[in-house]
Amino acid sequence: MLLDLLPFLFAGIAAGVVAGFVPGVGVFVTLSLFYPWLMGYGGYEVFAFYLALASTTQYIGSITATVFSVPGETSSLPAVREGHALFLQGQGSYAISGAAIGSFLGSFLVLGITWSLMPYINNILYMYTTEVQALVIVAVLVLIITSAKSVFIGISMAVFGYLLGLVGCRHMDNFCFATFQDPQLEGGFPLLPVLLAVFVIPKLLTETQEYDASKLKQGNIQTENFFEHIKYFCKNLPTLFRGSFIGFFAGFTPGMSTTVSANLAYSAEKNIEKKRGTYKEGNYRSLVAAETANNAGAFACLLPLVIFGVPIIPSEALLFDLAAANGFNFGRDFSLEFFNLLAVLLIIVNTVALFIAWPFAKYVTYMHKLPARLFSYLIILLLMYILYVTGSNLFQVEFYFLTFFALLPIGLLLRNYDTLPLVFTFIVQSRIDVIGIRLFDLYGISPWLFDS
Amino acid sequence: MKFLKTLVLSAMMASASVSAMAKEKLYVVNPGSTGGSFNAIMSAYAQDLKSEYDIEYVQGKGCANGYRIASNLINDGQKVFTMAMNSKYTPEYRAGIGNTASCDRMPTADNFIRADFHYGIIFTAKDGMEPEELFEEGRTFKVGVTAEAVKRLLADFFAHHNIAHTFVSYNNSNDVVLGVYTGEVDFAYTNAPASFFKKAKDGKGLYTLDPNGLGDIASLSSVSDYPYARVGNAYSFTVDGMSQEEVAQFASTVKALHDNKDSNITKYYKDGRGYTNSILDMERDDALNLVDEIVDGWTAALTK
Repeated sequence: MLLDLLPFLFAGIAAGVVAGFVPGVGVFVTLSLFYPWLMGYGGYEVFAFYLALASTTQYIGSITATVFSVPGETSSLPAVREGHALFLQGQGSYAISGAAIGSFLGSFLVLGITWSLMPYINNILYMYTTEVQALVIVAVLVLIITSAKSVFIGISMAVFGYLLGLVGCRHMDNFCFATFQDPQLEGGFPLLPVLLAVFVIPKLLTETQEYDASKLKQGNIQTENFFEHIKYFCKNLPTLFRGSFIGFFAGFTPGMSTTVSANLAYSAEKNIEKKRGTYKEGNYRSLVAAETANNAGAFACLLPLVIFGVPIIPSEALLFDLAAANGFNFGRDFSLEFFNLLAVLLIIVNTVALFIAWPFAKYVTYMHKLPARLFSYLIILLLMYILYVTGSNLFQVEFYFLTFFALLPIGLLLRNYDTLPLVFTFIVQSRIDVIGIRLFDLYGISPWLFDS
Repeated sequence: MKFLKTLVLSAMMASASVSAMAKEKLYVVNPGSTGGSFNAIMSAYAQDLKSEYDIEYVQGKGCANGYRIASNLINDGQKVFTMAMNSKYTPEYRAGIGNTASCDRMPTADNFIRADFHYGIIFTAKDGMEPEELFEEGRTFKVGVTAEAVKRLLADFFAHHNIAHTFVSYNNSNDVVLGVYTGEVDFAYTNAPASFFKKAKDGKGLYTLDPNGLGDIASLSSVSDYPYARVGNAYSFTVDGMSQEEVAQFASTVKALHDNKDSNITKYYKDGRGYTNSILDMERDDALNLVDEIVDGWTAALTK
């Protein structure tokens, strides 16, 4: 099994390197680009690809954040602040090695934490009552809505996302909403065109930044003396433990997993440094804590998907869709063997990513030659092609493009806002309904909308 | 020049042999959701049939859309392999429940390949109630169910025995198993016993609708005079766009897959206690008749 997965693992690592280097291309966009190809393979292959892609992107993304001060994702903001300051002080190689070694060792630590919880997994699973599920969903919604620029806009987006997800027929009680007797609408709006229209394309159009070549002249990267870097890192081991621990538990925050992990661990470490009187911008320990937490969070946010079948970030929703399309169900197909496989894959990926990130760091200086804006337009074109291919495979080309173009104006209208409330409620709408109907059955407290 | 000639000749021979070996296209249509058991079954078949056919796997994302796609393909003269849950959609359609008119699809003598027959099961948690408690007076049970048709059947059964109850709805059989084990319902009924057997060590079977019982689980009809206490379930598998000879050939290919312990479809069914696979255990005509009988049974129960 493992040998069969290796090609997908290495393809995921290669894709992760590109996704980490090219501005504006995150895990979601890369997974979308590979969507039609991955549709032809089984759930394990898709999962191996995703795991490698998501992990490698973390390693490479912190290099670009350090050198060019461009955050690939919001979780890289601490790397931008502390890493880039270190780079400007001529300590760029220590910033990069600290982030990479921290991510590497942190992944082993979180694997250990999860491993120790495995014997109790059924007990944890059987505590997951309808009330607990409802509490989790409500807490997440509140968190996502209140973190939006305006609570009113956050709520409006969440309601719109919910109604968008509601279109179609509900299996459990045959309730149909806005289907107009159209068989395609009975299946609901497909995930890919909706997410491309309201989440990916507006982001690519507005957030892509060019790399500034002038910044290269101010710092330097030396990738020799790797063991010296390890020795230096080992002097800061308590930071590693703190970052891993905070990152792991904060990683369960739906929708913002690694962002919360990295920024929370960063703030905690920065406070410690301030209390010690050792903090000034370009702080090595704060950077290591953030990057370690970033990777720990990336692992933690996979667990609800893998164990309960609940995707908590948009790229996981796409992964869930892909795996399910290939007959693999996260949650339903979880077993100890699957966890063992996950652990082995994670160790391989992190080891390879560490040894890629380190020598690759010096080539980062060529990146300013990339025409980032042009690149993002090229990616948009590619995504349109992917939409066509995926729609054709499912005999729904017109439906895919109609959905996409109907929602694109809304995505563009909201381009200056984080559309996460919309995306999240669209993804979890069926779960909200299921829980709502069940609460109605158990206590008679469901809103009218659930009552068919 | 000689090299060039050899190259051209080889290329022509290669292309001729490739077209001679070209596989026929077969559309495998999953009429269920991407996260359900239909998808798991059809994708296992798709993987196994790859060696014989050029497979195009199509996600219907719901029976209405799935059968629309299948019908379009069949009308275009394509070969289409799909499945149907006859024991649910057709009786629901006939009983006028919900918006499932376009899910009414029954197998015919021309396209029938095989069917799965199985019986629903009533189960509880390991430390839950005992079977005989179901008929005790003065109790109100919280009962987990997954579909409207099941709810109607059980409501009729409970009314027959004066059993007080409230229904709690779950999305699928995996959710209902979790609901029982978290203790939020007293017991549940599922038409897909495989989900229960997968986590059977934490649960206890109370009754099966199988008139012969299932292992140490008693049959409901042995303790109840309810006329539909033995109604079963049928999933039928059909292939269209093929001649009768091709259908027979396809059926033997499918049978060979079920005989092969390493095939994906055999692996899917290996934990499935209580299933009868018609292609292994029954005559084709008998299986087709049994599908009809089961659908008639459900329809009678739901339209009562």
